[in-house]
Amino acid sequence: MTAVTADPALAPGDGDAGNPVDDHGDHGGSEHGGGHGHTTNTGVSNTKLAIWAFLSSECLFFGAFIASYLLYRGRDTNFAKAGLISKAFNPHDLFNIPFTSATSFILLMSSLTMVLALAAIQRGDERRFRIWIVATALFGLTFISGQVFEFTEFYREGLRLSSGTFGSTFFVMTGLHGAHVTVGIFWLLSLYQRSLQGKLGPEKAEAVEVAGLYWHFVDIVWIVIFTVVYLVPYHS
Amino acid sequence: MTTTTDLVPADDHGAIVPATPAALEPASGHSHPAPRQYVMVAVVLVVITGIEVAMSYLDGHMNSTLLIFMLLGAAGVKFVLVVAWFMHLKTDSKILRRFFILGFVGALLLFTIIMLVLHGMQNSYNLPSR
Repeated sequence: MTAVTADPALAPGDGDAGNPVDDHGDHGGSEHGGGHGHTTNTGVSNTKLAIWAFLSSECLFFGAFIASYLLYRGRDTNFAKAGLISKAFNPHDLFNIPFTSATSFILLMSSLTMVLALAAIQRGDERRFRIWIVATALFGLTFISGQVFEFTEFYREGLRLSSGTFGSTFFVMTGLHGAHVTVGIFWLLSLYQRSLQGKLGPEKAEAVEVAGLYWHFVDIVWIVIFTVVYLVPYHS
Repeated sequence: MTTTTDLVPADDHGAIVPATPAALEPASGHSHPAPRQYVMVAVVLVVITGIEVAMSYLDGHMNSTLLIFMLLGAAGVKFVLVVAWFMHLKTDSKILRRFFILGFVGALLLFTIIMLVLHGMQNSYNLPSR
């Protein structure tokens, strides 16, 4: 049976009559305008499907760390009484809630600038895209600076990765989140550079959308961490 | 959006391609919200965060369990707002929504299993309790 297609790009070019699988293994390999990559059998571009599959796996990744934190929450007091660790830290004696609230606010705002950058590139407004993407990267950098400051303060107070279950679970969880933010900053800056080189227009908007999905995911992970770790009452 | 009814077998090998011009429209060819709507969502997120922070100072003045549920509820609302509006799951293809929900439900299951394991271990090995 012959496929009825409107896009010449869907026509087979390799002599394999009617076979829509292109050289890259994509079905119906037609490049669409609007930066949505290839049309596939699922109706979703492979890149977008891949980033969502990755984010789905990241849910499990961060879920495991958050669960571990909650698992050991408040147990250092007993470990200290049993002589297993030298001192039990009360997280709420260490946390500076106003400061962390400010950095959380900054990360939330970075999500807004990210979607504004996406909207700008979809309109073809590259100048505004660059402004918003740099603003997003700067917000991310401010958040990371805040985290470095916080870690330094905790270290001064004596909290270490090895000083108990609170120290290890807290530093690993928030540190990995910070690592994700750092990767995101480099990703955003690479988009900025591509735009400067004229390699990023409305037809490549999907590249910005994919980076944005990653960035928003990092933001929602922080929404959970901020509430569970910093705001939920702690009673040892 | 491309549906299975828009697809026809292309050849004897059973490969499938979109059959109509409408079917060629990518599923992600949705209309994203306008910048104004993004700003409104951001304002709501900031307001909820402010309420959350204010609630955290109520510890000791109200029932802790109720406070925890309220804080988690507020975080849940923020989570849904970002995923639905900023990540466009509200308007994007259903397959993407399913992918994300799969991972999220998996994370919740993992969390439940870890908590159950802890409960079992505490009883079996007499670990220090809180």
